[in-house]
Amino acid sequence: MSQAFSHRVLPYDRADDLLDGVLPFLREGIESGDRVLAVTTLAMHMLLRDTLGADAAGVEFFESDKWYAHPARYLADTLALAETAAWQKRRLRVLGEPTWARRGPLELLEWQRVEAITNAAFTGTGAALLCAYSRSLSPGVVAASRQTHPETTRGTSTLANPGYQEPWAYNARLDATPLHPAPDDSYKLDIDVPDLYWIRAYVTNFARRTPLPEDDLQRLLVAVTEVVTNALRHGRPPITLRLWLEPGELVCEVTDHGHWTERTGFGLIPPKPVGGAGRFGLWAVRLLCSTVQIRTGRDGTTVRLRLQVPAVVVPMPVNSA
Amino acid sequence: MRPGDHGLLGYADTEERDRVVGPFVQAALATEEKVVYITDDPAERLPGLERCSLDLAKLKSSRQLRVLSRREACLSRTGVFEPAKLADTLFRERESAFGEGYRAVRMTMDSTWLLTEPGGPDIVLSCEDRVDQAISPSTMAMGICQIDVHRCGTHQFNALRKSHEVVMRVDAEFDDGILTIRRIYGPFGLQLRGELDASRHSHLSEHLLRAMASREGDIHLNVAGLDFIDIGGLNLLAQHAAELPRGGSLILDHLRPDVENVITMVGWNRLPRLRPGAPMGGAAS
Repeated sequence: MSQAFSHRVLPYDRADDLLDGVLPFLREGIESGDRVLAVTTLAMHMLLRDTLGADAAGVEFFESDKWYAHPARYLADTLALAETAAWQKRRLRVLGEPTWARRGPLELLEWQRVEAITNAAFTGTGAALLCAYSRSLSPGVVAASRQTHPETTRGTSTLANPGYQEPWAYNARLDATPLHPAPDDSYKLDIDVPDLYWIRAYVTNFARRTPLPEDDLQRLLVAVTEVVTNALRHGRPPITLRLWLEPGELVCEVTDHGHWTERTGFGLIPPKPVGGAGRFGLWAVRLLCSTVQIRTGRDGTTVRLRLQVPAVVVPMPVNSA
Repeated sequence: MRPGDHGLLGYADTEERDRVVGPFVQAALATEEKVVYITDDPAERLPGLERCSLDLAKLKSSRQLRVLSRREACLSRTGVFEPAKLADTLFRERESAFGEGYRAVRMTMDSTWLLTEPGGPDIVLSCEDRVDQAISPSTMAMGICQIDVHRCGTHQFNALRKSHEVVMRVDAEFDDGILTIRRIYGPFGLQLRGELDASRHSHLSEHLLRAMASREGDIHLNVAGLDFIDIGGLNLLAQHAAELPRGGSLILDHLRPDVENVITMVGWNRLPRLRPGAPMGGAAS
């Protein structure tokens, strides 16, 4: 692999600025025989097709909303494409227009985390990633992009981002904010039995009284089992499970008094599939949940799993069993 | 199985048959019960009697073990199957058992040969009633009707199933009320029911390795009744699949959609040589 991995941000005001940066990026890829992807909104897709003309045949187009549907799944899928291309002695080149509108504050943080972790995860793949950020987005989003991308593209030139932060430092900073405490009326179970069958029965009993779809319940059960299994194996008692509903989300929290000392990556980077099935527990948990929040320190460890639930007009009563 | 039961055993291979009929026969001989086995095979080659330490000649002379040929038990002089003769034989053997000093009778016959004859299926179905009358009213008789599923076909087997109250199967290798592991034979592998998590990984591992050691090729896991499998369980399956000789796969048949959804999200590509097989409710390949 002759080229180094690159991850650049392209801030733009108007379509012109955008094309000034995007076209050279795409054309260079087409000429070099890269696998070229353009993940954009529909409007951008049409504009690019018109401008590229016959060259558009060398670009695979995808819709942003589908591509950027879930942070961990996005990272896993894109990384797999980069690795496959590298294995075929090609370069993966992606123009991405991440979806930022309509995202809640927590979701924004998770996508910013993914942008940062990308710098660690794609090392050695030789992929070229160019992320377009409209300056009409909220100022915080554009500012964060300078911290999560090592370089900025302006037309054909590339500038280093002075505010760029090392990915793990950025990640640690995101997690420095304490979680708001679990609500007083949350459902609480002290875990002192090693048989997780009863814990799943408890979680199922709670989830069945919420609008969580049946398919998602299975994902929740697998995720909870994994987190509790980890706490029982590596954590320190007492271990406590809490469940509650927030607007649009079911939250399941597992706390213990242990402290994750080693830099485990917290399951943020997909493990390599080859060389036997390694431990991929926490990473799988991220794939199964909408969001996973982890806080670990001297006071203990908290893992919060969040799954989206369909909105209901009247909150359903959740009574104690 | 209880006294008065008339069970059906559909077996996919002789190992499966032997694991049901063997204990059935041995339990009788160990506890003052009489065995009536209708077969043309010699006693020493029958399930439960092959390579056993029992004195077969002595058991035969005491009439505790009755190995009757088809001609003796149910064929006419010209070699045609006679349902009435079979019923008479079973009735007579049952009636004489008490006088011979046995407290119960266990009867069995492999009926596959009947099914494969012209008009066989109808004959078998019509004589099941008579057999039932010879066994069911009694508090001291039990019977197993053996059928080779591959030779009779699933359609015919299902018709027979309806005429039997009890369907026999191999005992579970592991059952703690939360997870059941049972050997299956058509296709070969294990049936998993219930929930699998870290508390039971070692049991699955043990029985899977045993199954892998006894056969070559793909191993099927019938997971129609598996309500839950954890990440570690999937990992474990992938690890064992990697140890299968000559590129064999571990095939998950009849996956529940919500369980399959979890595996799809985690990625089948991360679980090499583990693959989905027959769909839920479909026939295993």
